[in-house]
Amino acid sequence: MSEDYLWDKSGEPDPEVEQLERALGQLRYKAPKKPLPLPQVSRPLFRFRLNGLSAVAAGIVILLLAGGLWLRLRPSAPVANPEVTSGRPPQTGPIDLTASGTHKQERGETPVKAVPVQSRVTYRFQNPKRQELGRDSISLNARAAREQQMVRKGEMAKEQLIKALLITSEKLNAMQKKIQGDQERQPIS
Amino acid sequence: MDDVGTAGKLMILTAGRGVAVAAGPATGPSADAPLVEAVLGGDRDAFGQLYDLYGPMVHGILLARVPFDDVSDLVQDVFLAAFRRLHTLREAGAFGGWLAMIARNRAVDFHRRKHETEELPEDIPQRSAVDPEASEALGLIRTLPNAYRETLVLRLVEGMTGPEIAERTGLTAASVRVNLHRGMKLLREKMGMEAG
Repeated sequence: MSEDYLWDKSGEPDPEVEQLERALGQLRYKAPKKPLPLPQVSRPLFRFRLNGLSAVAAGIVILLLAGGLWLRLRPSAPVANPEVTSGRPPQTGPIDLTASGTHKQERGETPVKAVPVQSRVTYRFQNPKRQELGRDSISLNARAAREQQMVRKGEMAKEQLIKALLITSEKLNAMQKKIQGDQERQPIS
Repeated sequence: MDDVGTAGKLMILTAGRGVAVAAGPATGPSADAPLVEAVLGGDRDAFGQLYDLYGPMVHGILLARVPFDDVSDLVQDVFLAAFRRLHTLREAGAFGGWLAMIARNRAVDFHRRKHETEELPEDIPQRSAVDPEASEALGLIRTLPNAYRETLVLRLVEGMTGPEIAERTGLTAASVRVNLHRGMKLLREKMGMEAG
């Protein structure tokens, strides 16, 4: 029995294989006389294939665009320094910035707890005459509120941008894995 | 003997089920790649050449799985599907393996749809008269695992040699050789059992 004959029809013919070839040969493929009627297929103009390198390049471009967008939307620092108060009577003199809770305790005063930024904000200036101008104070309060709102919006935009970057990064990773998977995928018989 | 290299290739060994090792793109550009590129460029005659080259392979893969009378129609279906989807082929040199996979999937679809449709009565006359010896041998081959039966049909029915089978299907020569010899051994055993 020759194994070569089964492999490439070389060597001594195997009678059993020959008999099978004769019997099964009548089932062999016969080329059709008519050509295959091919349909009209509209091909895409661009065959976009994202390989590993272009995926990385696309990722860099997206990151750059996102960074530029974030820099553009980033809120600017407020013009005036707001002092946060919590219903205390207005301070007439200059603001004592060093008067922390510890110092107040040393002086026998009750320390004032830190108030969150979201509480009422009053702008106070060192010039007492400006404080007397109520309308200025109102407009300044409105401006401060607007600035606070802008800060909040900026924070929200920043969070959304970070989320978008994370999602983009995950998608790029998944795409790269898929590409690598396709390249390694083998036909299974 | 052919030099059989397996370095750098993925080998899937399944005990008693056959060996399927895809040669993959590491084997270098296929001779059919220019034809595939030509078809993608709009040359419909080039697809006719691919049809002539790969017709026996598709026929053999289908014959190993579906009834003889249905094979011819399914061969056309496979080539039409390949023509429609050719733009999705990532590597022109991998056309053979890609086409073989379409043929295998088409055979699976055929059996799935067959279950969904009503069975015809058995007394309907057959369209073609297959020699009883051939029918019996094919029936025995079809009892073998997929990888063995496909390789044996390509060798014994379509008359392809081992290297040709490897080249067309995209499998390595080593896995084709293993499938041929193990499949033939199993077939001999079954034929011996039938004779006994």
